[in-house]
Amino acid sequence: MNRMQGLAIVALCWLALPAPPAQAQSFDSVVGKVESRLGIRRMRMPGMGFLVNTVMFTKRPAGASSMKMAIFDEESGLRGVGSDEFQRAVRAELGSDWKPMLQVRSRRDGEAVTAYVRIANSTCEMLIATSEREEGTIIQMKLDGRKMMAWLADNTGLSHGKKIDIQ
Amino acid sequence: MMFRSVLLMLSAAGLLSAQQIKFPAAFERLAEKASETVNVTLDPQTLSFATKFLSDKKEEAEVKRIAQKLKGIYVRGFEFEKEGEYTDKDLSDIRSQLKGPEWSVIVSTRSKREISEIYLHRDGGLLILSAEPKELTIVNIMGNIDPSDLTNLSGQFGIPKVQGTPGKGARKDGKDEEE
Repeated sequence: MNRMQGLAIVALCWLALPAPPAQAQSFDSVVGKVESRLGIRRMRMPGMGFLVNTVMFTKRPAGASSMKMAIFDEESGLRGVGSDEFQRAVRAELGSDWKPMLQVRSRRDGEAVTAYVRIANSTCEMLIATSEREEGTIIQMKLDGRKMMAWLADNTGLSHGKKIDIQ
Repeated sequence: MMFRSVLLMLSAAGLLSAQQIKFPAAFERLAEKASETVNVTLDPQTLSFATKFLSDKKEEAEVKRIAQKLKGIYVRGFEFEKEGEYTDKDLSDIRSQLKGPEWSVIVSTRSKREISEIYLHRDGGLLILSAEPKELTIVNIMGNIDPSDLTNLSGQFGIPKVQGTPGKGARKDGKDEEE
């Protein structure tokens, strides 16, 4: 092995290493970029943050914590945007550390749900973008693995609806 | 020689993290026509994270035992309003990737209105292809899995419920081992 080959191997090994984690985007940063991209504004609901945090603190629904939420409705300007475009914008503005885990789309109802996960050490964050023709939400929360799988089973519809018969 | 070996190892490492088949580009067209679509992507990191939280109690322990050996789960499901929205060509685009020596079919059931097939990968992993007049589902489970484990995994990790499972130690020549 000559020196050039050695250097090439070192370079390839370096490329094969996982990229260092980029500065994690904050929820508000992601939502703000989606707003700018689509020309929409999230609903401003005084006390909403307090309400969500209170529910999260007392009930911890589905093992979730640290929930953040942004809601867009007709008045937010979403009517002219559409469900698909909303989903595309969220995906485009999320960093590469967010990986899509589940996408469900119902053309019949005009609804779409995409769940992204970001796993670092022993914590998992999930960001869920839901959209209809005139409404959209972006929710971010921390979940444990068990609840993440339960949520997945509940939302695929496959676990209780679809059956594959191989008999 | 060594240089080539390193290159091969690196490229193999890259391939390990991807699903075992490539979903055809035509599937995007199917998604446009489908009334409902489901797309589940559980890569090794997500799967490993989820598995860590499963308990060692009876039923969950079995799922945990199986899931710990898996490297990825990928599901694509389409539901259509009417029949005839997907074609034999769409199925053959998948089947053309499921050929020997890497893949062997272990289950193939056909009725007038339904096709169910299970393929085993020689390096571990399986693929389920289920086609009904208004539904098409493809499940790729990567890693060390025995077909009989499907019963425990069905309904978990976004995998549809599977009724009837080939026996433990199913042979790769298309027939189950005799008990």
